[in-house]
Amino acid sequence: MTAPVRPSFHEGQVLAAADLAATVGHARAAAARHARLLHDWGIADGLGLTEENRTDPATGARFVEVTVSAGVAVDGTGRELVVPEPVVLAEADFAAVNGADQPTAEPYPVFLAAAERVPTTAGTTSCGGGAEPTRVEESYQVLFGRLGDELLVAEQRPPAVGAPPADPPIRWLVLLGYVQWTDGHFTGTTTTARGVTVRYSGVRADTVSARSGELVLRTRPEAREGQPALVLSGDDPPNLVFGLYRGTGSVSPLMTVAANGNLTVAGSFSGRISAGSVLATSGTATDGMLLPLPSGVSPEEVADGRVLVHTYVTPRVPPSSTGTALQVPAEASVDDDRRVRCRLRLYDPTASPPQVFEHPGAVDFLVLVTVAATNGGG
Amino acid sequence: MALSVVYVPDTGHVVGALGVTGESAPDDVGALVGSALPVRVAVDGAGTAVLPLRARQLAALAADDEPGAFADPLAFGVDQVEGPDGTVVAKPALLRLAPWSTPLEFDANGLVVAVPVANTAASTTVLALVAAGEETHLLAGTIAPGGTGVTLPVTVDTGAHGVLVLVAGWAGRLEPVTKR
Repeated sequence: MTAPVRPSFHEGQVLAAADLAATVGHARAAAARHARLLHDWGIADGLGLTEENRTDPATGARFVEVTVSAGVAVDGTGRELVVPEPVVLAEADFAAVNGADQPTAEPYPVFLAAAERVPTTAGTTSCGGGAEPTRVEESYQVLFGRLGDELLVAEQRPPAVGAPPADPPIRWLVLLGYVQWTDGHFTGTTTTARGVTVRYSGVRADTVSARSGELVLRTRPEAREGQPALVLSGDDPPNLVFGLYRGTGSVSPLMTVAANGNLTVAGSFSGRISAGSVLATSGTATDGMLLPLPSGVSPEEVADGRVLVHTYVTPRVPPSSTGTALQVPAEASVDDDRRVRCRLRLYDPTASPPQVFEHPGAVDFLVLVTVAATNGGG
Repeated sequence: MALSVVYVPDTGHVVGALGVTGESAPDDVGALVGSALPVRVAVDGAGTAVLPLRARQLAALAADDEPGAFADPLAFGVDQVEGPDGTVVAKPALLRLAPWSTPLEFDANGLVVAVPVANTAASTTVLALVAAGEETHLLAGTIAPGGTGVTLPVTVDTGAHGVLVLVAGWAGRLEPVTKR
């Protein structure tokens, strides 16, 4: 395999068809290598499966007419697949492939592949008087797969780096989606089935730079209210913001990393507890209840010793209901399971005979969790 | 303070409470009591009896604030109503249950439970835990409509026993009861 060869011309040269073809071929090959090696293949724009409700006049059954919207895809060989206008899927074409299947709710894959045709409007005569066509339409074909054929998508292998542009019949399948088929009609569409989803084109780049001073990553081509975005801003001072789009098109920050390293989050923070941190919770618990751990601390971290739990309890002594009884704490502690043990002893000297009762009580508690700097806390 | 209570769905009695400052309290029974809630009662001459209420017998509820639930959880109940889909829904507002002091006692047939006022409209669910040495007897019964009492069959030795009695609609009783 040789390096790319670029045609060159000089005055007085007699141009042959091969020279012109080499000119076109050089440009095609460069474009294909760019598409193949600087991008990940897939749907670049449009090509969605859309449904329109229909009723079978013979049976009254409801079904959908499925249309592939106009769009562009790039296949794994670097070919550009252009669908210039919407295409209605033909039920007869589907039936020819899958019509003999037993009824199933499983969706069938729909693919797009490159095809070349001689356009009907192209001139077919040349100065030499030959009948060879002088134009090739870089067209497409929509193919219906059998159940499971979507797995073929992942098995396709791209051509070598220096390979010339691939021409049909070399076929590369671009998955457009899936259709459901019931009683001779399409009845639905989906973009995912059996773990295989529609693939969209991507970018291969180690550096992505912005000219405006602000780089935005978002999950949809257009900014939609409520959708997430990551904004790297070179403003003064610079910052990194993760947030959701407002209706105005600006991003409402949920997390901001400032130039000085300060992190600001609008929500709560969870995750591995950093070394030296102290987390706390407090409240009131009755006898027998388990004291809670501070938010972000798991029982597993306590069990395996990654964190230390410190508890402090104070018995609650309610006011005497009779005005004469005396109450004192008989017990106020926490066991190894963080279970409260609290009993109050009540003595009423005015009772006849004077009596002592014990009954369960409650404690006010403070639970502190610490991570020692030497035990691997992050 | 966010309040979570643990209650006995069969009778509605609150048996434990946990309030957490500034954040929501757990509403999972396992997180609140572990495998069981040990209800303890001092028994004359026999130390402290432990009456374990198994987690499967309990439910948890994020309740409206009720400071009294810490001082005497058994004085409160959870109002359980039937939801629109037929499931039982526990209301967050706790009910203060009526106190009663009719003596509990053992007779030859078991534990005698009698409430001061009869419920003429419906039967009344009664649950009791009775400590007998290392064992705990779980007793269940009902007071018939119009009736005021029931005897829950149990055989215990003479002497004092720790007892927890839960009568639906009435405050729970946790006390020693002596078999003579």
